[in-house]
Amino acid sequence: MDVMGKLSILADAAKYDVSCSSSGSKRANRPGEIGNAYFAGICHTWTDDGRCVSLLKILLSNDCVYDCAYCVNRRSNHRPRATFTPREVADLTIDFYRRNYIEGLFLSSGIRRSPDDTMIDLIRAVFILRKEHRFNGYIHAKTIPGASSELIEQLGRLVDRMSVNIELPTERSLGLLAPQKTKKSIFTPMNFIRGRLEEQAEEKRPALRAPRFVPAGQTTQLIIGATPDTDLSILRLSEGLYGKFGLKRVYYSAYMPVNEERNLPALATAPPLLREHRLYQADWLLRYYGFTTGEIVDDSAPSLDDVLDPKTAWALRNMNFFPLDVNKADYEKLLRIPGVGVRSAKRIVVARRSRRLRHEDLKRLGVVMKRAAHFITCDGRAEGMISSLERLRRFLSGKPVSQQLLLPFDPV
Amino acid sequence: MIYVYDGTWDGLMCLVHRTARDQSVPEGIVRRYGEGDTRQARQEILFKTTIIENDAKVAEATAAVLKKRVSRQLLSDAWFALLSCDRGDDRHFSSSVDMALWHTLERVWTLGKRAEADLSDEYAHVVRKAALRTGGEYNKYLGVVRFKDVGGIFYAELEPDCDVLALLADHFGARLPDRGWVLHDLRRKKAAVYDTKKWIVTDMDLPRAPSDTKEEREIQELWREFYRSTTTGQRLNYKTQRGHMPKKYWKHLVETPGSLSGHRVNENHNPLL
Repeated sequence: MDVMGKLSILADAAKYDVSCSSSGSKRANRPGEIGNAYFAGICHTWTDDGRCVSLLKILLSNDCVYDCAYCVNRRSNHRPRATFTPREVADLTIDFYRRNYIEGLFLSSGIRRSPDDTMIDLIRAVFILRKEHRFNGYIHAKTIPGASSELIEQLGRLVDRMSVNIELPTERSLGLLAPQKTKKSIFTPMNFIRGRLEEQAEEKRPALRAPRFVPAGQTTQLIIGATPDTDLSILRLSEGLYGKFGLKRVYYSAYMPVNEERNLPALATAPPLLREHRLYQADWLLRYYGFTTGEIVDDSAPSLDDVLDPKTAWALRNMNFFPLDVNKADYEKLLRIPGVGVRSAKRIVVARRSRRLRHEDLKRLGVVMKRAAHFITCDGRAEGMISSLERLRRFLSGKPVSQQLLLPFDPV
Repeated sequence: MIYVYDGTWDGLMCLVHRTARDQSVPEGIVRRYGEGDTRQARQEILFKTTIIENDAKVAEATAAVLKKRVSRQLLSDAWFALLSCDRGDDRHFSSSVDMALWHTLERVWTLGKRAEADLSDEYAHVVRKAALRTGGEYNKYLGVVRFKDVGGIFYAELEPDCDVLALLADHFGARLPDRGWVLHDLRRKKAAVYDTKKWIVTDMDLPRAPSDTKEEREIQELWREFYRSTTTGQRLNYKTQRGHMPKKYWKHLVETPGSLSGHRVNENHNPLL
C-alpha cells in the first residue's frame, strides 16, 4: 500500500482522539535543526467539524490485538488495516512541517503483537524524526498501556507530551468494555511519568544538554456517554488527575457509536455534544476558577445542567454570595461572577486602581453584562432588573421573560 | 492642524516629537501613501496641514524617551496598533487609530505610567482593540501560511488586513532557518525574503504565482487526504469552523474547508445557510 492509502486509513483511525494541542513547550531552534516549539501552541487549520488541526495526528498502525468494545480498531472489526514504517511517519512529518501545514506530530498506535513491540516502533519513528531529520518541533506520543517503564523513559526523552488514555472513568466500565485493559495497566505508566516529572522538577542543577523528560507534561482522555457514568464521577476523577497526578489536561470525547454492541448505545445514537461541552466548562472551573467538584455537582444532583452553564447554575444556587461590589471584591471572588472570565477579572483588578468603575466601564473591560449585571453592584448601585430568582433563571436560560409574567395568575 | 505622516514607527515618533514641540493637539492625523493618494490632496485644500518629514535621529531620541515613560506593554500595543491600519482605513481623520494612538501616548507621557491602568479610557480602548486585531491576525497567519517548494525555496502567498509581514518573518526566521523562503503579501505588493541568514522586506509584484512541480502536487494531495480523513463526519460544525477560520483565510490554503467531500461550498447554495 502506498503512503496515500495508509494515510487515509490511519488518519481516519486516529481522529477519535480529541487532543490536538501543541502548547506547553518552548524550545528555540538551534543551528542545523528544523523547527521550534511555540509555547502557546499554534492551530494550523480547522476541519469541517470545527476542530482545530495542530498536529499530524495519525496511528502508526491500526492493527490491534485488543478487542475494546468502543473502539473502531478493535480486533474483531473487519476493517482495512495498515501500518506505516517509522521512516514514512518521520518523512511525512517533515514534508508537512516545512510547508507550515502542521506544528508537529501526534503519534499513537493500535497494539500490534505486544505493548512493548508497539512502543519500540513509536520510539523508532520519533527517533528518526529527532536525530536524523533533526526535528525540533512538537511531538505528542501516546504511551501504550502495559508498556515497560524503560521504554516510557526513552520515549519521554524524545517527545514534548505524553498521554495515556483512561477512556472509561470507572473500573467496572473498563471491565465491561475493554476486558484486556486494567486500571493498573493504565495508571502504572501515568504514575511513572508523574514520578519522573517530579524528580526532574526537584533536580537542583538540571544537566544543560540532557533532553528534558516530557516538557509539556501528560494528558489523558475520557469517553463520554458510552457508559452510564455520571458527570459527578467523571469530574471527581478529573479533579484527582489534576491534583494528584499533575495532569495538564483531561480531554472529554463524546462517544460516537462505531460498533454494534450490546453494552453500548445503538449505532444511530448522536454523540452527546452538549454534555461534552458542559464538562469542558466544568473542567475550566476546576482549573482556572478555583471551584471544587463538590460545588459544581454533588450526589443530589450528579449531572450538569443542560440549559445553564455550570458557573451560572452555581451562582443561582448561591445567591447569598451576591451581589458583589466590583470595586471591592478580590480577584478570587470576581472570578465567580457569571459573565466575568479570567481576563476580565484581571482587567477589573488593574483598572479599579486608577478609578472607581461604573457599570458602563465594565463592558469595555470584556465583561458580559447580560449575565453579570444581575450579580454585581458598582459602589452600591445595582443594575439587574429582574425581580425574582425564577425569572432570573428563565432569563439566563435564554427563555423569554415577558411582561406578562408579572401578572399574578401566571403559572410561573 | 492636520498632520500627515508615512505610517511607520519612525514617522509616528517624529509626529509625537513635532506636536510636543509645537505644543499642539492635532485635529486629525492622516497617513501618506506615496504619489497618487488623493485623500491627502483633498485634505490639504480644506484644512491646514503639516507634513511630517522623517528624521531617524529625532525618531530614535523620541523612542528612547518614550521607552522610559511608558510600559513595555503599551509600547508593544502601540506598535501593533500602528500595523493594524490598512491602506483603506477610511475612518474620519479625527477618529482614526492614529489619533487614538497619539492621545494615548500623550496622556501617559504627561500623566505617567499610572494613567495606563485606566483600561476604560476611550482612546486606550481603541488602541487596545487595534492591537488585538493585529495580534489576532498575526496568530491566525502563524497557522494558515502555506509554503510550497519552488525549487529549494519555499514560497507562500498571503493577503492580511493588518501589516503582519515583519512579525511573521521573525517567526519563520526562527523556525525554518535552514532553507530560503519568501512570504509574499499580495495586498501590499511586498514580500519578506529570507536567504538562510537574514530576512528583508522588499517590493514584489509577480505576474503570476510560481507553478507547482509534480512532487509538490503529491505532497499537497497527501495533505488534502489527511484533512479529509481527520474530519469526524458525525459532528460537522461549519459555524465553529468559520468562527475560528473566517473565509478570508481560505483562499491560499491547500486544503478545502467547508465541504467534507473536498469541494468548495458555493455560498449561495449552502443548504446550511
